[in-house]
Amino acid sequence: MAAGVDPSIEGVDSAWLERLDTLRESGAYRSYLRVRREVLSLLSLGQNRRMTGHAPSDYWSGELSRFEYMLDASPLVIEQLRHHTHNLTGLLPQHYRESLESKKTQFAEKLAALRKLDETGVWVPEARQLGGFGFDIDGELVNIDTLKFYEVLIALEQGAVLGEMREATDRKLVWEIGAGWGGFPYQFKTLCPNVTYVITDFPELFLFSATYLMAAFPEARVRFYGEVPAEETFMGWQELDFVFIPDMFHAAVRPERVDLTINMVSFQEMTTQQVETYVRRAHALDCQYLYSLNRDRSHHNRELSNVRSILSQYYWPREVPMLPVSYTKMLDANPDMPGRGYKHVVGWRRVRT
Amino acid sequence: MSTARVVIGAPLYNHADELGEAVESLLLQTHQDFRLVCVDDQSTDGTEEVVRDYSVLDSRITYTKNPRRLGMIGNWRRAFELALEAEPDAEYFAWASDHDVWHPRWLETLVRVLDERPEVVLAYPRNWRIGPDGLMTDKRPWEFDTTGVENRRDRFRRTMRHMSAGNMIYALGRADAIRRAGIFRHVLVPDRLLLMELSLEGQFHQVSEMLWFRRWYGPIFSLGRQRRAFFPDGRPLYAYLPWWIGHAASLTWTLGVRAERSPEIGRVTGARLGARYLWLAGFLHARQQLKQVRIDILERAVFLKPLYIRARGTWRGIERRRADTAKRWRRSFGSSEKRRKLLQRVRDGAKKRVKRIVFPVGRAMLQGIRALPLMRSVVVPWLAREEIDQVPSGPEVFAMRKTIKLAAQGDAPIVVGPWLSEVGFEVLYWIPFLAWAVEEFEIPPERLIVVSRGGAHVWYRDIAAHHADIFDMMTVKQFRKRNEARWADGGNQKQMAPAAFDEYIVKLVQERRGLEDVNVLHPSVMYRLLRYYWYEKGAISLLNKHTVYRPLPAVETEEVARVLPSEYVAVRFYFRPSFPDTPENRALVGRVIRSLARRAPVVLLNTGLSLDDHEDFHPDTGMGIHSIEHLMTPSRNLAVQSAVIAGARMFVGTYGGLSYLGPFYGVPAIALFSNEAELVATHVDVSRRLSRRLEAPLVTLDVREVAVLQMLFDTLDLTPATGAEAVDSAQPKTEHPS
Repeated sequence: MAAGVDPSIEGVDSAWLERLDTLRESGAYRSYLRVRREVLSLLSLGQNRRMTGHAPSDYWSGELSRFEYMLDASPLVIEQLRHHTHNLTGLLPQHYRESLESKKTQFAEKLAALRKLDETGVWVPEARQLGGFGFDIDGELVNIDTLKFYEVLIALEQGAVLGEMREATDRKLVWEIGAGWGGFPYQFKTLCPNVTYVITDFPELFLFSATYLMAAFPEARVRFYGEVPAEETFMGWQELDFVFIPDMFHAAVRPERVDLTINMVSFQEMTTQQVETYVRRAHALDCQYLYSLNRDRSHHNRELSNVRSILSQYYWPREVPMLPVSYTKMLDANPDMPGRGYKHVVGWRRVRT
Repeated sequence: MSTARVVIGAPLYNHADELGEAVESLLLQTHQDFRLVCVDDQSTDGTEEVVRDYSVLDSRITYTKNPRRLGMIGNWRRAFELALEAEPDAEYFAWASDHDVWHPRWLETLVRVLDERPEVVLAYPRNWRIGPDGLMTDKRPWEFDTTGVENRRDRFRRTMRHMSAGNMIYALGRADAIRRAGIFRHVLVPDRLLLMELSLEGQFHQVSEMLWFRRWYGPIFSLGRQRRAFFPDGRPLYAYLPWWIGHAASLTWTLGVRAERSPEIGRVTGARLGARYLWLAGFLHARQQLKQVRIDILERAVFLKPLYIRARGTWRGIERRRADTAKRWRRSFGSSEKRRKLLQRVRDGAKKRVKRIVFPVGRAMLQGIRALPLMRSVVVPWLAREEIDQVPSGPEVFAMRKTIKLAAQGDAPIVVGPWLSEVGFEVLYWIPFLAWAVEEFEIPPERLIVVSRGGAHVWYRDIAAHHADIFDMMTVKQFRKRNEARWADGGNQKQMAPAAFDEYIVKLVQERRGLEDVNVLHPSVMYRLLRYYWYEKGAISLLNKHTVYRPLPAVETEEVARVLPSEYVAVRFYFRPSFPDTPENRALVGRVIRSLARRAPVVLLNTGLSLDDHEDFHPDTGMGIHSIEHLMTPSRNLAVQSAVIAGARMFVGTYGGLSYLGPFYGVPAIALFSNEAELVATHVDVSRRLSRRLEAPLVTLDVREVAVLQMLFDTLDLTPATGAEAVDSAQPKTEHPS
């Protein structure tokens, strides 16, 4: 045995080793390594703040611990990163096998129904990179997340917000509170390249979203909180494509402007105080529009009054009608009970609160 | 000092609950240069407090309360007047309701439209309806626009039929145009009348974005409600007239009698507009009323409902059957070409039937008019002088001129052709027609790209600077196949309309030359016009007025001269209906060629190529008879034949096609036929006129007149006297001595 060779891989097929080496050199894995470095740094930065009241809820603590392995992911994991986002979405590639024909038909029907509502062409399919999956409909991958994001984009278009972002000649800044694995920012940035997209989330989730977005947009200019002094986070923001701010530090930075604040399915899980903090912050930053896809309150969440009523204090809420069923359901499901379903709300900033 | 370019007048009345959101949405406009003038018509809720709170925050808001209730019309007028008093130099004005919501870019977008388009007087966005709770309803947004409609009457008619007055009245408009249009007149449904009058001022433009959210409280419109809201001091009698009669009367009074819009709209036009409004609005109103009557009857007389349902079912059955028939019809006539042809037949049939009905009536009327003394003594003789016989082609002349004018507009290259039919028509009509068109419409040759085949471009050199040969783009076989398919589809060779093959060739030319946009001058323009003459429906003047007959440009003869005798007779015989393939004709052609060859070298123009529907006659070549088949290639056979004819002492051949070329090159020609019934008299006539005009004889002869032929040949003074000598002199130059 030659000196220096790892005994654990002695005798392994050289082609396999070569593939691993190639993956290690891939852009996605290199992005992941950068994200991991930043996330570890953010976690250590935020340790004290978490002890002083910014700790995740019990629910989220449990959730975050399930994908702790992502802090030491192999190139093979990153190559199939989308398969691992099930930790956040519950969706797995096997839910979209081509043999599930009736389910595929339901997806195709829902997609067709949404296309009828889409007057300006805002459809963006699931990207095939990093293990993208879904039913192959007309050569494009479609899963429940893709349809959800499509609904959101249509709602933003009909709420007269997206057009402004798509045709923007001056740079816009979009702030998403809780971007999950980065699917929506990918779609939004694809449609509206002239925006700086700011994501506020648990740092651990950047392992998914930042890695995914940096792989999807290899040329994108990215900044993480802490890479520069906090007050300089948004210095030269027009030159940046993505900015990642951990939840516990969002109040520590102040962008020059915010044009649109987005929240999908997480206000409903927060406490009244948390939702109000975010909405008040958006209002204080002179953010013109706030978009929310939430139920008024999750039925298990006893610490939240009502998302819409909190929004209404700072924004004039405008509910955009969409399909008779929520994004989680297919068209043949029973329509949502009044007041129970997810609502697409576009809020306009109030002059007087 | 006030300098705002935009002023918004907000007539307010008892909407305090929604007013805050409405005012805020206006204050958040990205276009900040405006003033908001709120006029409260004695609201009894908290309207005043809401506005005063905001006016403290923003100095652009002013608040005025009417000293007494004016009603809706009075309040809207006052909002306009106070707004323009506050901002006398404001260019644009809009009414804002006290309960709707505007997108922050509403004003910015509409101001941009009015700034950029001086012809637009009113600009508005698409809009959503929102419920009292702010929920956007799923009703699709309305659309109406008169952008680009320059004709005032067209705008008036379209606005009448399709406007959405309740939405459009909240548009941003030019303040002076609104003032000229009378602001809000004291009639029922005054928004409709204002918009009708504004349509006379200029165009309406709808931007495609959703920039206005109109709060919708359900269908609350009623004339009774309007009478109460508009006339708080008592309703005038005219308020009980149907609203559209009131509008028509108002239009007639203001435009026709008082001539308020003179000189743009004179009294007569104004009165006509009033009448037009009465008719159009009355018709639409009657239709609506009938619909309402039906609903009312069915609501009251319930026993009629089953009958109605049955009748409706029967009607739908008829409709369904009609749809099924249409479907079957589509199946039977699957190809679009078949459908097109059938439709054409149906259309032609319908036209004929209409003509059969209309013409006798028209003729009787004309006869009546002609019987008038003035007509008989002055007008009819004048018309006769103006060649009344051209009347049938009048519309076609107009259409032709319009088509060429359109093609000549702009700077885009013009593709002339493609010419796909007979050589005879090309030489005798198409080229002279083009020569006329180029002169008449002053089209520079640099813009023209002639598309023909077989090197025919040599005929167009003085017309067009560019050419494309079809045989450079496809093989002879491909051309024949597709061209024959075109004949089969069209019924004959004539290019009466652009076919798919024509379009295909134009595309090829575009691709080859890398041209994105081209205009096309298709032979159908000429075919459709001159058919009146060919079929003897139009006088010779139709042809004379639209053609220029002049010699064809000189053709390069050097190359062919090298292989030909110095003097020769060009011969081209082929068989066609007017000269069929019979033993007698074959024998005659043989005799003619041999006889000619005894006097002078004969050059046969046979191509050896199967390019068209003409079958060449192949005599045995012998002493003094030359063949040039070796020079013929698909892409230059016509150029070679032209060169040979141009250099010949005389041309002899079958009547038609190449025989017309002789006079164009100043070469005498004899054209033979044997079946006169197959000749088109007008073509023969043109050929004779052509020969006279170009001073080169073109003799058309019936083969039965052999004696005449003989006499003709006897009188020819050709040198050298024998074919043998001529051949000898040509011998060193020819590659294929006969």
